[in-house]
Amino acid sequence: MSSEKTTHGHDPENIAAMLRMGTEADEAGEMSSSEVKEELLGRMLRATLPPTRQQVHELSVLVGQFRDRLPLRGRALGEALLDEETELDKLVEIKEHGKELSRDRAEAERDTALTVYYGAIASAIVFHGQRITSYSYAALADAFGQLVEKRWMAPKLARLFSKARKACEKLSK
Amino acid sequence: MKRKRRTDTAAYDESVWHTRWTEISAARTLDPARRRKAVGRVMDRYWKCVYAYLRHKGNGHDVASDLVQGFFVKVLQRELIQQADAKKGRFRTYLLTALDRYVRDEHEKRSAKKRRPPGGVASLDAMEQLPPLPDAVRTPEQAYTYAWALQLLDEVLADVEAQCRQARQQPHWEVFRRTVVEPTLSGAQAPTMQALCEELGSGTAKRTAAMNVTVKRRFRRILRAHVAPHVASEDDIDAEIRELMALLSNRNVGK
Repeated sequence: MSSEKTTHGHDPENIAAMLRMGTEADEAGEMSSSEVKEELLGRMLRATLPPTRQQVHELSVLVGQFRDRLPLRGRALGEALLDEETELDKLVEIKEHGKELSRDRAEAERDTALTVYYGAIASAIVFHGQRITSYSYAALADAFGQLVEKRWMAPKLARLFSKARKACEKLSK
Repeated sequence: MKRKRRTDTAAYDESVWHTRWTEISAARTLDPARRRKAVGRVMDRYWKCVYAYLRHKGNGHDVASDLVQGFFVKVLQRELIQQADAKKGRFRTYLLTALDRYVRDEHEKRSAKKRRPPGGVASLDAMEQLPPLPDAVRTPEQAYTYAWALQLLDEVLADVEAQCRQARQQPHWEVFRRTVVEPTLSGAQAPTMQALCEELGSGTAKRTAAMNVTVKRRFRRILRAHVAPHVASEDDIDAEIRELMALLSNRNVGK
């Protein structure tokens, strides 16, 4: 099936059979390091930012008084990175979160955390025309170029990095 | 009737990371532009299910498409959004309940013109181009679930293919498509791994089978990632998939 086609018209039982695969245990077989990173990145992009210390303090007060009013889970990081309306200060926060997660980690975790770090920088450049790092545009263009090529990169994020790379190449001239 | 092409719908470009309940929360904002955008995402993604349901309720194309527009206008007016609450559970069920309520309350109340927002929320042409549902789909609830599942599966398969492309694993995708997707969906005869291996030049049959396992894992992961935003917590993903399967198989479960 190419992306031009659709599942329309297929028997509902057959659609159900495809969905069944989502509930079955994975077959045996070792995951490649690229696959591990792909999975880790997916998890990281679905996660939300942890609460700040101030929020933790406020929540601890709220929990006692308004348990049912606790906020819903926040936006997924992947969503925030791709949304042109994500505020710049939020992107800075995500960048710092990615940096923090990358510290003293094994390679797979470090690489995926740094993807979030650079994702925030790319989003700021593409959607706000702002550089939220001291790295030069030339260095950023190079970093984004490398990320685009990663086999484990989420395709939507790869498109963001590609746009950011082009912007940085222009700005570095 | 023209086959609907997957790329026709803008919603397919939306990110899997858009959390449905978060979108609903975002739509509560007082900023009209942001509200419209947030609700627009919901509409783009779900109008097909709403339309399929309304048609199966016995409405003709004109009435059904008018009701679709009206339903989302109601969403835009925040009357439904304000009642949405993630704690109530699954987004699929929430939307259907809200639709039922809307149809009951608004039935033939206003003229089509008044219901329709400026520019509309979904192309009427697109609605006309939707292919008929299979005979096995017998009730409006099944029509809704069927359209929902199709949308989900279309998006998942497109993302699996895109991720295979990113990983430079197009042959992996091809193996999965030929041995899993086509046989499962259409009952096509799956080629043997040996035959595929020779055709694709993918080494050995064992290696070709391993390629298939890689994409199956990817499919499973991406499917679960697409379901996650529609349920209250990650723990509910299995239950949601199983309920979809049961509804599609016409077994007796709740809506």
